[in-house]
Amino acid sequence: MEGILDVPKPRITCGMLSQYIGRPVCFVGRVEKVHPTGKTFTVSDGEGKIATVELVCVLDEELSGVVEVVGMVSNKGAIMASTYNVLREDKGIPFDLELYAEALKVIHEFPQHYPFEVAASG
Amino acid sequence: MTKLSEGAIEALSNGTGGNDAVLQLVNIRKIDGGSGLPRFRVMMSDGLHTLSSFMLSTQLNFMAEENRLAPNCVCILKKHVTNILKDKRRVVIILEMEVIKSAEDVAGRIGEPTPYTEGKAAPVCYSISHSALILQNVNHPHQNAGSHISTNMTRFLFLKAPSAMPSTPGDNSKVVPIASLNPYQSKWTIRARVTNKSSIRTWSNSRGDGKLFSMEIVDESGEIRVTGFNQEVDKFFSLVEVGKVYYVSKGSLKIANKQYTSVKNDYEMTLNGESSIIPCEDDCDVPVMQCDFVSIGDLENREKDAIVDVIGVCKSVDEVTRLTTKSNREVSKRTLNLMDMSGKLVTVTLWGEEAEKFEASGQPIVAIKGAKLSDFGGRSLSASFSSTLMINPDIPEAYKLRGWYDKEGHAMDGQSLTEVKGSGGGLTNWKTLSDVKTEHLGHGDKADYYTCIATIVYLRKENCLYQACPSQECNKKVVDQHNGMFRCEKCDKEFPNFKYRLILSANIADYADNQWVTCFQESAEAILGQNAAYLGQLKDSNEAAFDEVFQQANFNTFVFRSRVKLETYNDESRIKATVMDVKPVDHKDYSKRLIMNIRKLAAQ
Repeated sequence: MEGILDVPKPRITCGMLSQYIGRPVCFVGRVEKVHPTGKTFTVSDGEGKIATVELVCVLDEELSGVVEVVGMVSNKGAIMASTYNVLREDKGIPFDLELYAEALKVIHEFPQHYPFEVAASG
Repeated sequence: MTKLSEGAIEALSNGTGGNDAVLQLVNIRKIDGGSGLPRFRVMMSDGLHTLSSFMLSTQLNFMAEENRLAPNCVCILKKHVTNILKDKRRVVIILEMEVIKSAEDVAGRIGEPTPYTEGKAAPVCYSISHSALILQNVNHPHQNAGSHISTNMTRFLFLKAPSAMPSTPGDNSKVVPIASLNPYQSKWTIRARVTNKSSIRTWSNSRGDGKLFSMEIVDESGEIRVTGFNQEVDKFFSLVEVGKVYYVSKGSLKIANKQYTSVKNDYEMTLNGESSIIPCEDDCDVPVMQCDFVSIGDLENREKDAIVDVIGVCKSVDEVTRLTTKSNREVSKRTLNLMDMSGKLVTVTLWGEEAEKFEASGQPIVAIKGAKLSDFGGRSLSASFSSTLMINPDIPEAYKLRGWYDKEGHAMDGQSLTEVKGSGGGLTNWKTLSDVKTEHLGHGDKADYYTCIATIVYLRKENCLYQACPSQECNKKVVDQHNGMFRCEKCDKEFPNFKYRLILSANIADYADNQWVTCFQESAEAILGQNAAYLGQLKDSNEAAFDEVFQQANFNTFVFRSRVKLETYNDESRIKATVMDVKPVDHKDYSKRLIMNIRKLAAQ
């Protein structure tokens, strides 16, 4: 789990989940529904598609709004979250999820200009 | 060989008969008629004579178009009406005709007919076609012949020989196109519609007083500007109405002074004592307006101060405001936003009566001829006194726009070419710092304005503050009299105090280049995050804190709205850039713009 923090984690949308199975990714989306057990919840991306996030530890607080999840993509296309952080809506400029999705499209369309494989220095 | 009704031509010409005449068609000619319908002129022969003043009524056009009426075919003239023109000539309108022998079945010309003349000198041909041009309303379903049709006939509008014209046969109805007018020919008549008429303007100078009015007239071939002075103003000003068609003749032509007009013609006309303007009733040929519309999206590519014609949907309009000009005149002003199919929006300013009278309801289609393009706020348009404003004009472009707008346009926000005062929406003219050099901004006569996103990389804290005159409006540097008083040369007064003002020299950079700029009070305070008075205090009392302010301010990124101009100082010319406004970066807006630029580049 600690290993995931040193590795480049491409930002993806739901549509790209299947291409990143078994790889660490960073996913930003809006919390849709939290499962009663608190171990899993769904998120929607900028294009409106839904993905499932599975947590190692149970949620200890009510989750809502836009959240950034870092984790591995499972065979089933769910994200096994190592860590997450909430982008607070009450502070600063509200996060524009649609614009984010647009930007991601550009990044993935031109990988030659946006290389993910930059080695972390020292 | 089919027998033709000899003598029929004479009878038809005299109006004494010709019913059921068997005639041979000698020639058929298509003429462009009014209201879009073509007219066909035929020359018929009765074996003895030929007569060319036959016109096919429009309900028989199909016969000509289906090539049934080919030269040499023989026909029976079943129904006709003869009409007498003002100048005594006759035209025979063929209402019903049957081809009894098609052209292929006829060997050739039957007999040796000669043209029938009634003793009038000029051959009837050319002039009649003009009168025939005006034949309207022939296409009535002629269920009941005879009287029904004859009453319709009286509605034909024929060429009225303008009385002022010399009555040379064949000459008085000769209309020439505006495009053919030149200073070397004086005997001409044009038929045109007035598209624009100015009000009477008077002047008074050392040489005396005078008055003038001008108008623009248009016909199928082009347009021309017409001016009348003094006596001609009295003669013609009240006679001429915008939108109506007139015969104009004997004006003097000279090379156009393009400075005053956007009319596309090398020449312009001046009315003189011999000129005449006569109303024309038939105006369906003459176009309503000659406009060369520029797409709003294209306006960015046009030079400022250009005169253009535009058409668009009035998306929004502001209230009328009143301004006082430098000459202390009060004038009304109103701005409206026009959008067209390019998706771009431009702000148009109306003045005076036009501003007050403008009816904004329902997002009308607005067309402006001769609007002036300015670079105010990027790109904007102004309707000057010589522009013509049309609301919901009856032209195809207007309908196209209406259709587009109803389908898609109304949902679009449109990208404005005109910078809106205040934050956010509509900031235009984004440049990178290298663009400023490569595009030689500021090298022209006027200063150039542009917007850029850049990071501060150096702030010069030495000499950033100066002592200024404490008077409200005055910012001039005061001279320290060293007696506790400070003198302002501009106000010509001495003061016991001063106010600190900022002139900050900074170097800003983006990925492309860097640039030295000067920021005055407001922008400097925004960058440093402190007001000038406080900074002045700090400088005098706490150097370390003063330095700290500059440290903190360094490497911040802002949106700069700058003005750049080439200035010459002692034989040396340098580009000087001044920051007019500093704003924090709107990341959303910036991202959107970047994405748009990326997509644009990718598409190339």
